[in-house]
Amino acid sequence: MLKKTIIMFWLIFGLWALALAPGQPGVGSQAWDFTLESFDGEKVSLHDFSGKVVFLNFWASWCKPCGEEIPMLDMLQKVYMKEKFAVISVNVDNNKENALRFIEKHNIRVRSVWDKEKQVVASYDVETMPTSFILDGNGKIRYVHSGFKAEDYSRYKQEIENILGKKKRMKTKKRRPSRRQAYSEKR
Amino acid sequence: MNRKVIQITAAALLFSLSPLILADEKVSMRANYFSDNTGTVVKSPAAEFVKDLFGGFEFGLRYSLDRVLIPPINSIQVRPTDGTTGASRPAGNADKTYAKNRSEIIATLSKDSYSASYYYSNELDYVGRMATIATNADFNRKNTNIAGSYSFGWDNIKPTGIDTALTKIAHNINATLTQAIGPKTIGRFGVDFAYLSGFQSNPYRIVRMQNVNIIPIENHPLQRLRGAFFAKLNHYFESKTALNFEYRFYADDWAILSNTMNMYYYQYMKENVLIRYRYRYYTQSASNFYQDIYTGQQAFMTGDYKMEAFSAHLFGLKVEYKLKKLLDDGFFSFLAGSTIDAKYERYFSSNDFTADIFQFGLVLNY
Amino acid sequence: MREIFLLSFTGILLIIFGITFNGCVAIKPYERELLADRVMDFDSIDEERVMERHFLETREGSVGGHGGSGGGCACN
Repeated sequence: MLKKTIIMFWLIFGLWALALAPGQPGVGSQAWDFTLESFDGEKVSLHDFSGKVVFLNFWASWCKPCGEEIPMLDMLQKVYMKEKFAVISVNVDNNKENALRFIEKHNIRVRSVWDKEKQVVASYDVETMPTSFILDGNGKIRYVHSGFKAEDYSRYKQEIENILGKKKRMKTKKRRPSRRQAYSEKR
Repeated sequence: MNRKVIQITAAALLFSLSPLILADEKVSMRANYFSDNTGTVVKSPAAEFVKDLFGGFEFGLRYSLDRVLIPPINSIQVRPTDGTTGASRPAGNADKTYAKNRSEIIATLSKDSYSASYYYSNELDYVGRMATIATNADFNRKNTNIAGSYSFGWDNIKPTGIDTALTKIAHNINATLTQAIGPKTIGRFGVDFAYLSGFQSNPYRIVRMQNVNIIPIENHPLQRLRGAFFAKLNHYFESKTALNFEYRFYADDWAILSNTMNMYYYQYMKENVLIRYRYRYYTQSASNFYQDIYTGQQAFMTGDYKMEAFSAHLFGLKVEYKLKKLLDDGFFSFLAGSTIDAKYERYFSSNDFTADIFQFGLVLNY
Repeated sequence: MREIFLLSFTGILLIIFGITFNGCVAIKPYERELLADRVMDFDSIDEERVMERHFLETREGSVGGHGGSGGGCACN
């Protein structure tokens, strides 16, 4: 009787454990590298963007909030065009045509890749659609966003600037030496 | 009637062009035409819009108007017919067609997983109201959703030609579980309970008596406990088709038991054309106080065809067209994803009732 | 009345079953493309049902059995 009870307990516990979220990479962990083909046909790897702040976004054409977020990523790309910043949007549609149609319809300019086998999205274990990860120049995950609301855009900007701010060089004006300084150096 | 239709359409379009337009919004207009073999005709235009407000709130408003035409009553022994919307006819002017308007409005406010709605309907002799609150929660990475709602209804009945004001109170609760079963299969299960107290008869309907010199008006019990269990299953096939199957079991303390089976078969013909075939089967038992013809006066008597045992079939066809190509370019591209649809359904029952239902719809998605 | 009690019991059992054993079913959010299709959404024909209810509930002795919420793409 006791043995049966213990087995039942572990069975139910095991089922509950399955329901718990397994390993989505969290803040502070290293983002997993990947190589996927873009819709332009070029190979895109995450390690190509080493040294840059990366906004990694997982989306699908059938996901309404994704459709609202993608054009905002375009805007982010434009705003931080001169910074060491890049957007990689990973599409998970079953049918490439649906994604292409969506990109053309919304005139999307951000770098978009197709995760045909859904291996990359599985390795990042996204919990909802859309999900975004903001990575620093070393590939570490600094922020994770599950879902999208219109007010998230200003938060994205703030977070990107937080990371960029640490990497920004302090630009100082080069001062001309005074006459006395120049004279003493000459001597 | 035409003025009302124009007013509804204009209000819907005006609201749709409001500068408050944000994402996830919709305006839809529907027109329903019903006619049955008793000669009753009902024309029902309806408009609905959903709008995102600030602070994450979503507001929905639905207005519909039922124009009911009930034919003359040929004989006092023939049961007076009801309009499709429950609009009944008084006995006066029995040789004339009786026309009645019934308007209905539902307002809903929701935020995140909470919503509240208010329902109001009005016709000459009946005012119906209902307030509902609902909530839902996701579990298991949104594979499981549990929803619950409670409604309180209070109706006032003031029969034409009868100097009495009557009331009816209703409490409804619902619990629903929606479960994703696989990438192509999803199920929904739930229970509904309703407790009604108050006037639940038709004040104009007479009961058929063996003794034709006695013509009593029907009298139903003042309390009713109703419950239903339902199960739904949707499955998507590889060939861009889907099957939706529904089953409902109903029981109440008037001894009516019913089984309903409903099937929808969807087929994408082209990317923007969707066809839906439908079949519905319904069967019910009689209430414990129903008799076709009463031999004598009883505490509870009915002349209502809804109280007898019968079965019914419904076949339907709907075609939906997505306005993609027309709206992809140009000024109206923000309406891409909008649809127009048309449907026809034929209903017939074992108690010699048949009806034809036509419906046209226009749904504008933002 | 017996049927009503049976209904209640079945309904509660299903809900408990759904919560307790939900670990068996784990459709990933990115696998929900087909579930997000309109034809798979239980609530996509709600407007149509409202009009239909007017008719059916005046012809038939039963009500209810509709429910709400859940399903679709489960986005956000």
